[in-house]
Amino acid sequence: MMKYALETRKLDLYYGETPALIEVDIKIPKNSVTALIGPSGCGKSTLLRCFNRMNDLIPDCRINGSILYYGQEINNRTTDVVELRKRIGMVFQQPNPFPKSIYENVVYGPRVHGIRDRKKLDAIAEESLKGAALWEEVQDRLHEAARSLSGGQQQRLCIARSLSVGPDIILMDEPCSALDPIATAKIENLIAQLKEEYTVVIVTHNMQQAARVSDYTGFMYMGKLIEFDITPFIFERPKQELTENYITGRFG
Amino acid sequence: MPMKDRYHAQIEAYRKSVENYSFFTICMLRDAFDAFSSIDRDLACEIAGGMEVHCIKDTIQEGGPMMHQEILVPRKVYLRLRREQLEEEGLKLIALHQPVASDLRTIACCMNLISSAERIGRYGKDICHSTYKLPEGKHISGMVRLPEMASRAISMLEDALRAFQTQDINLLDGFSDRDDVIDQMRYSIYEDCIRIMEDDPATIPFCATYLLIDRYLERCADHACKAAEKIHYMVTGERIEIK
Repeated sequence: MMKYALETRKLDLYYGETPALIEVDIKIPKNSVTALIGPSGCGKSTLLRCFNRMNDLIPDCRINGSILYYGQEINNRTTDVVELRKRIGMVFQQPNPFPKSIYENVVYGPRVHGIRDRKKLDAIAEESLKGAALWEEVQDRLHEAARSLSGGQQQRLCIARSLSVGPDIILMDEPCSALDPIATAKIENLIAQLKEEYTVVIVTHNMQQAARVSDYTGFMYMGKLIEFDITPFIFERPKQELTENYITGRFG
Repeated sequence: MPMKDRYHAQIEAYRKSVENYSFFTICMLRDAFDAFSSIDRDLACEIAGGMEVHCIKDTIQEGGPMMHQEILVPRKVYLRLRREQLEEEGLKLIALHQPVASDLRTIACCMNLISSAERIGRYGKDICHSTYKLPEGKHISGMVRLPEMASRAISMLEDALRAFQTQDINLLDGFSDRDDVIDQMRYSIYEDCIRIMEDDPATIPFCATYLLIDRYLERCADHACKAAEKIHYMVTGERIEIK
């Protein structure tokens, strides 16, 4: 079994003529939480979106280099992007439940992938909501509108929705930035649990959050991966001066 | 001033306060040993019991704004109050700003140095107390080798403090060897004192005091080594052990 869930080699990405990623080499170990930090516009969300080919949806976006999923090249025309996004789920900054019930949100993905058996869908819903630490709170109101949930619950519902199609990697783009400290703590606890079964990559502006939840941290600046190391090293004794200046707030 | 600049100014001010406190305690040790060498009881009394200005920060007057209040306290009390205050300031910086990397290492180092510094000051106070208790008369056998040992231990403390001030870890080179020399001196002084006391029991009051001070100075050198380890970590991020 491959040691790395994701890997990029000399990855360049351009929006038109503007470079957004420059020769990014990163190896993301499986069953770990990797945080990407850096100032706005440094390319961390762009890199995250490369992992499930979300950048394909952006016009004028051009990518060179390799993106490997368990050693398999995914940056080519033969990759089944729908299947890839099933394997690599994504959670966004703002909770974005569908305007449907809690239950329907969770089983939406499996249905799209052809599962029709009600019992099977019920089991998936329960398992996914449990996986997202939401089951206890919603088991009695599965058919209520998802939008009636609090922001933190909606975000966990989105995590449950991504778990429902059986991914092995979950990408999170600032998943707690719209949440209060209590909801944030729940998501952070959940992230710690998720890594038992999944590989998690999280983009965050909150460095304390990166320090708390991640095993590895990558610091990006102007499209380059400046430093990648185990998290305690990054926050205790970074090797690069740029990293030091950024995390201590002496930037610019 | 932007919040981040204010935070870094606070860390710098904190570092400076720890530096001043450490300097104060090393001076206390040095002056105490001078008082002991010259058997100057008045000076010893002044060093241990003299009054020091202690500033109580952020006190709240009933119904009024936060105030600073200055009180006069004996030096030995000041040692404890200032250590507590500096510890609290370090914890406050951690709680309010969640420092990382070099900022975190600086605060961690400062909090270690504070404890060592208080111990150094208290050894100074103990040497003063030993001075009051010395019998009338002059030192014997040139105080064995205590003056040399004191000079070596104080010089290690001063070098550690200078390394802390300047972040020049080259000043810490050779601390292990210097500590070994002090350890050897400690045993040699111990043996000399035993021999002198066996030869002439009248020397016991002096020699027993020398043995105590011998121990204090050896501990001071140990504190200098511990401080050197922390300063090395603060500057480089790498932990070393000075044996």
